[in-house]
Amino acid sequence: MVLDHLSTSWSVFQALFLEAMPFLLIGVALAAMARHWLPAGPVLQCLPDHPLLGPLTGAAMGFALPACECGNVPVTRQLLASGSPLPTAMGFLFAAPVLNPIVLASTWAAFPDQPWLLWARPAAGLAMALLVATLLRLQQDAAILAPSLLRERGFHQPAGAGSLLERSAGLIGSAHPVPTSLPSAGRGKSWRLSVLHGADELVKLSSLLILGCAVAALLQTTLPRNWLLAVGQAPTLSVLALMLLAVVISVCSSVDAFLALGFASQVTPGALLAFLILGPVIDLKSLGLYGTVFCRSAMVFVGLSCGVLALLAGQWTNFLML
Amino acid sequence: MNQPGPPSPWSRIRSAVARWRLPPLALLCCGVTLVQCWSSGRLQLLMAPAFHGLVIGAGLALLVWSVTALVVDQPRRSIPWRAAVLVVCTSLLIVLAPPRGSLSTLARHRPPARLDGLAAGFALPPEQRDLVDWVRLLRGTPQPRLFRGEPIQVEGFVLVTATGERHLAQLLVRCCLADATPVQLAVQWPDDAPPPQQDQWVRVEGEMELLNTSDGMQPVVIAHGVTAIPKPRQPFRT
Repeated sequence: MVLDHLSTSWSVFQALFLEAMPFLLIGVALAAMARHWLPAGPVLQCLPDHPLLGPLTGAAMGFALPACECGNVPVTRQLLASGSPLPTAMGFLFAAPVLNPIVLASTWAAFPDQPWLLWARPAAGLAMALLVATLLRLQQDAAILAPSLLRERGFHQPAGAGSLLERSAGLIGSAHPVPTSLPSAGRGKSWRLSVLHGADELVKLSSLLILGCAVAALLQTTLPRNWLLAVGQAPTLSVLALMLLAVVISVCSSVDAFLALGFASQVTPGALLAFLILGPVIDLKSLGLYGTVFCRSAMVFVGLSCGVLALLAGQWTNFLML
Repeated sequence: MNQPGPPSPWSRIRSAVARWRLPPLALLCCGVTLVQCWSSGRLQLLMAPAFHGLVIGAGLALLVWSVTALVVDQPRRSIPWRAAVLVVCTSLLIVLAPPRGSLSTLARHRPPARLDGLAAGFALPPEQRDLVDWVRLLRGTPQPRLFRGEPIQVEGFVLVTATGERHLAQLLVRCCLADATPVQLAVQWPDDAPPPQQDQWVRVEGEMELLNTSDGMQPVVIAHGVTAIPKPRQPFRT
């Protein structure tokens, strides 16, 4: 029986990994191209730092990138490393997986008979991105970003832009040794360095994707999904159950609407919406990838914030529609 | 002045790994794995055909990227060697251990598939309806007794339910195995032969009947003949 579960988990792992890898590759390739061609610093620093305009700009940028969360994380990391304002990068990270043409088209294809979902999903996803980005903007960069990213970001921040803590910690305006793989003199000029740095980044992120897929696959064949759906018609429990399912199942945001179609009739409308807005942002598969952007406490904060906002969106929808 | 001592075994291993250009090699392994999964037909076991092109494209892109990186690689002070080892090992494992999971185990953990949007089999004669057509018909009609006695010939794998019953099932996949959901029919297997094993692919010939089960009156296939068939190249519907 155990062997049976393990071998089924292995099949699901392979399916998840092979399906996610192309999207990760797209994301890393875009990040490598951005690193090579975009002049780091001046252009990206012109992006808005405004709490509303920043995330909206990030979301608009995401509309042009038809990748799921696996692809968005490396691009976001590169944006931040190149000195992009935090609200814009966070808006891109949290809104792009929901607000891209493929996701919207798949939602329309899966739920042509439920027009409310066609605007509720992007609207709720955008609202979630705006709120989480605003909450994160209240923190200092040093309190939320991963140390390695913070160091890279420090090279592109004007000395006066950082906090006193960051300046005194030597993260900005110091004579830190430049990472050997990313010499600032060669940044944007040497395609060889871009190829090598991109390869290193892709390997790192692939290893995190492997760990995420392994956890998701194990849980998928251990947790009976019927158990989650048994609470389908209880307003709050159904939302919570579908949120948990979204985190565990870790399916790509461009196809999760088709999956949701499978149990749409068994759960409340709010639970369906919560599944469709939380899954693209937070799931087990991409948990490791987030570790390259956020420190641990910030990851917990982001997870809880998104969870609470998805719950509220689901509850409100149930209140309106039931 | 202090002379630097001889390098430790650990640093010798690390520099050797660096010389081996491990990250590009890891990507090469990954690219070969993706292409091999396509060429061996394994993708058909794992995901819907719409995604095959993405995987093939990614595999070829990885090959180009990794070969380029191997050519231009230069000594670096630090490389993500732990991550690279994990990617290499996983790629090798994927190639060496093809997916042999139990569809029955997978299906037991999933809710029944919803069949909206799939082509209906109303216009088809009973013998030509497949499993999905039959389940869709039976779910869609308020009077399943209308189908009593109709001949049936369907194929699928044997799903052992949580209560131990052996149903005939197929999986419906939108993206990959992670979202597979089952479509199943209860079967009364012939008494003159042992029921087929879990996950065995079979063709069942018989007739549709309504029987009193633990869930009330339910449509059940009364099997007159059961033939073992090979597992299809793509063992699910999309």
